[in-house]
Amino acid sequence: MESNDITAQTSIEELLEQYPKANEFFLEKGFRCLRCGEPFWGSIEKFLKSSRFTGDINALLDELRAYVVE
Amino acid sequence: MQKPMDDSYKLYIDGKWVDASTGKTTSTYNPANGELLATCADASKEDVDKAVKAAWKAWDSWKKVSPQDRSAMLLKIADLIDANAEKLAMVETLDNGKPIRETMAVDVPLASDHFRYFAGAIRTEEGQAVMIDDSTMSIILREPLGVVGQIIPWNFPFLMAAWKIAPVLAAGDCTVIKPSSTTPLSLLELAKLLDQVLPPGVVNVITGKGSGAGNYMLEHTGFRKLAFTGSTGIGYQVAEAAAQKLIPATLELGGKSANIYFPDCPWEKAIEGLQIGILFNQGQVCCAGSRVFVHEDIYDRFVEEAVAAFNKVKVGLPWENDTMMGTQVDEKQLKDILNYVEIGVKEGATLACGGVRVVENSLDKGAFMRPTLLTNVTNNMRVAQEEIFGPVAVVIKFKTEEEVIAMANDSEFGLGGAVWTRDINRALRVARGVETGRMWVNNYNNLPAHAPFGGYKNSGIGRETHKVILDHYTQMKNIFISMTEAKIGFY
Repeated sequence: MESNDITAQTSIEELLEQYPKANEFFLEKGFRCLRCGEPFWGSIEKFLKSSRFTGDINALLDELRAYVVE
Repeated sequence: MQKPMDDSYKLYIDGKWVDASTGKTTSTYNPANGELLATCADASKEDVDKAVKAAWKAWDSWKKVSPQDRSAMLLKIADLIDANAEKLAMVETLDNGKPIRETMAVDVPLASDHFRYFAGAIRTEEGQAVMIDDSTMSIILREPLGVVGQIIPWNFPFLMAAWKIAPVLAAGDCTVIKPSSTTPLSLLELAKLLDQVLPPGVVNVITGKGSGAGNYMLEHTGFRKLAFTGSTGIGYQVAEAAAQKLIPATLELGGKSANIYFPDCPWEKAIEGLQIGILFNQGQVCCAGSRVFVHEDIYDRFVEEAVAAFNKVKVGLPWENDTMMGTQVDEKQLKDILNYVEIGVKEGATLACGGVRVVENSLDKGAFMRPTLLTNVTNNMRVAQEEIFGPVAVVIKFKTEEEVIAMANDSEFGLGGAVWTRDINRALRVARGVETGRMWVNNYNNLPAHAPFGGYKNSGIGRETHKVILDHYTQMKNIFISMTEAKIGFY
């Protein structure tokens, strides 16, 4: 998966397998997609919803795509 | 060293070993050196469905098996575990990374004892009967639920399997159980032993990823109950799935437990208790004593001696007998822990010891870390509020009993905790004051059968390791009897 292929529907498990740095990204934002070593079961969108994220998902995804390839 | 596990494992459904319907597999690795240990079937939706159907088929006859016979089977399972203890311990150590001294002394013997405990518990179960009036009797019986879905974590794969399977068998239920894809091997080895004792379909083992097989289990409508041990994040997902189907769920989730030290604590035992609280299983314990509250009168001495004790801990290859701390379960987990150390330091904490990975002495291929203490921490810091799940304790100074109880309770979690003091009245006041399911007094991380374990607040619902869990795996039947022949005369 290229970083540009990361979408709201990408599963967190797949994201972390390809880009472990994504965990650091979310941690800095105050969200935990990896808890007790277990990735959230579901998509990025579902994860953000469950984390009560209310911002712009597309803007966050742009940031995430750039972060994981830094 | 000869590998104690098979090269590949299938799904265990209806007493048979079968490939995943898609043919897909996952791989599991030794976290200490990255070597491939085995491949396991990656269960599909169809496989989960097959397992649930097999369990229901088995339940038709399993529910009629007498408590005496079920008890005898539980005892046989315990004996088989003990007879295979060394192999099971090594499988667990290689798959999970925890030291062999722990798997031999804790995980495996506690697991066999769990089967023995429930073998005994069901022989003491009795219903109730009451005369409502002179001619009306009410009988209360407990009946099994049917087929349950169980999902267990990677930190204690074998012991958690025992915590889940023993009460299910005792209660007369059947199960479809899924281990973490990170550490599936000890449960698969246990399934080989169960196969020698149980009728086909009573226990079915599904392997695969959480986001795949785990989610298929949550979506399946064939379960009468879900049981989960793992993170609070996924606990919410399990609870939501159960609610949608109107079935119960027991959840044993995360924690950020307070380990509280007063000046009159039994000193040497207390320092050891700090280590048992946060270094046991590399700190990957839901009830780990990760928030350490130390009274101001002993704070400086306590930190000094704790640092010295932490620095003496031997981090090493998990299969070596003198290793005290093995490897974290994988690289992702290690990085997450190290990120938290960094967050703590940025928040103003002092790194008193550790905080780094270990690469010396052939440990460079694993996810090893030094025991870590963050001092000068305040209870509102992220490192004091969020579960790190690694060998990292934060140390917080306190002045009074009231203050420390308030700080201990200022947490979303309520799973474990401890108070260290020689004053029995203080010990009981603090134990009662802290909102948590388990408070140890002058010990930590003792988790035998016969004492209920489970969480308050976001740490979960339900209690395990005690016969009370049988209530969670059964339902109440009331038989209401009129003992007269005469009609009431109402119509």
